[in-house]
Order: sequence, then C-alpha cells, then structure tokens
Amino acid sequence: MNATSISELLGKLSVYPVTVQLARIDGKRWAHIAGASTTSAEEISLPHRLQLDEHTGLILRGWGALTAGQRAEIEELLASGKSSTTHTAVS
Amino acid sequence: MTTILEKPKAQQWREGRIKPEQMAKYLQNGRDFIDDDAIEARLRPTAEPDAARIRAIIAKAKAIESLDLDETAALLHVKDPELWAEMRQAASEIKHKVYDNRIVTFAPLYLSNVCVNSCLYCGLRRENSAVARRTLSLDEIRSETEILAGKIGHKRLIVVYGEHPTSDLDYMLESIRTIYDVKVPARRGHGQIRRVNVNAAPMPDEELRALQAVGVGTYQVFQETYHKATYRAVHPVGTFKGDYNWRLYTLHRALDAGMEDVGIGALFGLYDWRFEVLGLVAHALDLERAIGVGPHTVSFPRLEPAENTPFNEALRWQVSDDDFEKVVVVLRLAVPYAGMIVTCRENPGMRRRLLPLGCTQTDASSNIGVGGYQDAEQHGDRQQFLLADTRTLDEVVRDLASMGCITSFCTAGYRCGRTGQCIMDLLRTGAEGKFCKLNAVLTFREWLDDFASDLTRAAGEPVLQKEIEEIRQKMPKAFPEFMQSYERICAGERDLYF
Repeated sequence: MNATSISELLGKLSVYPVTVQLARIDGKRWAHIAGASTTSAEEISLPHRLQLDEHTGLILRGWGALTAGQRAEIEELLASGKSSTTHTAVS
Repeated sequence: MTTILEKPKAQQWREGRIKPEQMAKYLQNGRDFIDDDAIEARLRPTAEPDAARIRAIIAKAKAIESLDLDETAALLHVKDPELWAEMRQAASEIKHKVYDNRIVTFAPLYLSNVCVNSCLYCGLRRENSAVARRTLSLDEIRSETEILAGKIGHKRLIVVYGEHPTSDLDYMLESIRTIYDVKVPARRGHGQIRRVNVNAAPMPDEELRALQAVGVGTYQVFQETYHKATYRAVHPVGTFKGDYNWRLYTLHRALDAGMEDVGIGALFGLYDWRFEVLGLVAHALDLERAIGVGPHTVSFPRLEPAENTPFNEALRWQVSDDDFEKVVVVLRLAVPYAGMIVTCRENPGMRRRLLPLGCTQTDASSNIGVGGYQDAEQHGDRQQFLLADTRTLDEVVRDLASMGCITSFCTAGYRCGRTGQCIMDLLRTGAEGKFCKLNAVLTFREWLDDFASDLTRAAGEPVLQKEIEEIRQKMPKAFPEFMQSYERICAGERDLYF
C-alpha cells in the first residue's frame, strides 16, 4: 500500500471515535510506525487489528464502542480501496 | 550440490562476517563509547558522596529519568548503610511505578551448542572436548516447544544459538518459524509460544533485517565484559567474538535494522562489577543518544561453574551476594524504564531477595541442555553452565504468588504497536503499566486454568482477585470491557489482550 493511499485512509478514519495506529507487520510483530504513539491509558480498549497487506496493518482502539453502522462504514472504506490493498480483521 | 565454482556454505558463512564499515557510523571521532580510563577514574576511591547529592540522584531516577555516568558512579561510591537503604527503597518504588507487582516469566531454549569461539569462561568453547555437541533438527525443536508450550505452559522463549555455520541465519529463521507454528492442546485452551526472543552472536546488517522480518521479540547480545583488556584476555584474538567493537555496536545496528527491542547484558565475574555496571549504563545511554531508544531489557548474569572449564573455578572478580544486590539496585536506578532479568543461575533465595529490588523478568522450569526438555535433567556435558534454581514454573508461580506478585504471561505489546520509542514513552509515563495490568490478569487466568497444579491455583486465585479489584477501582472506564474479556477467557477463549 503506498503512502498516499495510507494517508488518505487515515484522514477518512479520523472522523470516527477511534485511535488509529499504522503498523509494520513482521511475523507476529506489529510495530508502531505512526499515529497515537502515546496511547492514553484512559482510552484502553481491546485493539482491533486490520491487516492491509503483507507488511502493513492498522490498529484501531475504540472499535468496541462503535455502532454497527460505523463499523460497516469503516469496513466499506477499506474495501473501497481494494485496488490498492486488501484487509483482514486479525482480532 | 557444490560445484567447483561455488564456495562451501561454511566458507561463505565465515567470509566477510565482520563488516567494520557497518559500525563505523556509530563511532564518535573514531572512538567507541566505552572510555576505560574515564570509567576507572570515576571508580577511584573517593570521599563518601554528599547525601544531598545522592538524594537528588535518587529523585531523578524516581522520575523515571536515565542517570548519567557520573550520577551512577556516585551511587556506587555510597558506603552509608542508611543511604543504601534509601536506594533499595527507591529501586523497589521504581519497579512498582513502572512494572507494579508483575513478573514476566520465560524459558531458555538452547537450539545448538556448537560454536566457533574460544571464550575461556564458556562451557561451549570449541576446544572443550567434554561437551557433547548437538544442533537440534526442526522436528526436535517442535518436540521441545510442545513440552514448553503444551506441558509447562510458557508463552515466551529466549532461543539461544552457538555461533557456527550449522546454526546460520537460515537455521535461525526456520527454527523460529517452527516454534511459532506449534500449537498444542492444554487442559482447557491451548499452549502456544507467543513471543520468541533471540540470543545470538552479532551478525551483519542484512542478516539482522532478515531476523527482524521473521518477527522476533527481543534480540539480546551481551557484551560479557565492557573492560577492554579483560575482553581481549578472555576472547582470543582471531575469533569472531574477539572483535570488541563488532559486538559493542550490534544492538545499535539491530535497532537501525528495525529490531526495536534489544537486550544488553554483562557477565558478572570477569572484571570489577562496578566497571560493568557503568559499562551497561554507558551502553544504554549511547543507544538512547544514537538511536533514540534504550534497551528493552538489561541482564546481569553471574559467572557459574561449567563442565571442564577451569577458568571459572578461581575468579578474581567473583561478585558476592551483597555486591550483586548493589548491582541490581544501581541498575534499577540508572536505567529506570528497562526490564531487568534475573535467571535460574541464581538460587531461589537470591532470586527472592533480588526480585523486589527491581527485577521484572525471570525464567523457570529452565533446562539449558540442547534437547534437555525431553528428559528434564541437567547434563553438564551438554550445557553452557550449571543452574542454581531448577524449580518448575508451577513452583515459581506459587512462590511469586506468596510474595504478592502476579506472574504475567503477557506478550501483547509487540503484537499491537507498543514497540520501540512508543513503548519507551509509555513506560516512562507509567501508561504501559495500565495495559500490562489488564493483560497480566488475563494471561494469569489462562495459565491457572490450563497448567497450574491445585496448590498453585489456590495460591494464585487471591492474587487474581486482588488485581481485579484494583482494576475496578483504578480503571473504572476500562473495567467493563476488561471483565467481558475476563469472562471470555474463563469460558475457554484464549489470547485476548489490550
């Protein structure tokens, strides 16, 4: 996934009440690249991991608090960029 | 098939293994960061340091700020028992502030004991004919992992390789993939290794990048001794390990290669313990200076007897138990954010003494013989040294519970973006502790249900209930989602984490 499409995606996700981290995936390691580098302890929630391609993923916190409609919108948002990426919910 | 034009694999492995150009950029004015003379000067006998200055240094450490070498040396000069008591208390407070009452457990897994080096203190040195040499096959690695993950219940391993072409990068990558692939049924859920840390010799940048890409946890390279003359004396010239700077800058290069979590260490007993403490602190400071990220862990093993290794029998610089306690206290104060590892080299009594002073990780059910988990006995002729604590993980967990500690099997951070600089920030501010507290409870619940004896389960339940009550009181916003996860774990789901 290229930098422009990631940047566009992060911009579109910014309207939702989730914190988003971009991660580089190396095996089991999801390493922080950008976004929410100091996740507030007040915003602790189960991380929802979305794998965009072999080496890139998004970690969303606050997923559990989204409405079903908001989740569907995000899923659709990611699916709409499918020409440049695919995504898989990891957890 | 090797043709006449191809070099044998072993020869390819040896050639160009040490690449001075890869470490040159980290030197400052052509010099490394260990200035022996300056360190020795700091350690020369001096008057008792001013108590007010020592208290100011303690206060800085309690604010989770790294100490510099002068500050650390000042702590090493303290003789006043009352000031030492204050330092011990501060070390304990820092541990609780950053890591609370959690102790992370792991096991070592030696995959090979074949080595090209000749380190005088090491049972695995190539000249030691008393050692039965072995490199585990992938099937054997799978069998060892099934015991560690499926019977003992470990989630985290440190895998150890000798420096040798039979345990080259390809072998490392295949062995790590093999370990990660093992999944075995347990009493209620399943056993699986979730974090593989690696202790392996320095390697070129391109190999570090490949090792990083397979998804390792922490990469450890211990300098053994930071004192250059001693280093030369115990690591013969002409061996790979004889190159001091190649080893010294491995972790700088590893971080730049994308590793993110690295572990430093010194082998106490080779030289003056105070010098080694300053060496470790200098190493941590230079990683922060050059890369912006300090060590994830600090290790401080004491030299132990090893099969057919006379060097270890009459050590000039042997470290007494009281001095070893000072090592832990001063390191805890000087590098307050880092995890600190005390291993089964220390006997149970010593481990109980050191854990409250700042240690965060310990091993259990350890066997350091290659292939040793399948027979669960210590074999001096297969291993690097002899262990002083051979208790099972179940016994250690129970012992920790009796001390009010919760055993954490958490491996969440590196699987959800809390890595490198990000985790350093979280550790320094204390925020990481909140995540860890939740994950410690979830993973301890898993382990009690899947692996604990009745006795250990009974000892662990009150600790769990106390933790849950603390979470309810201190983290009310996260508590409902946490309890939902806890109930899911109780119902048999596994590997949920915050």
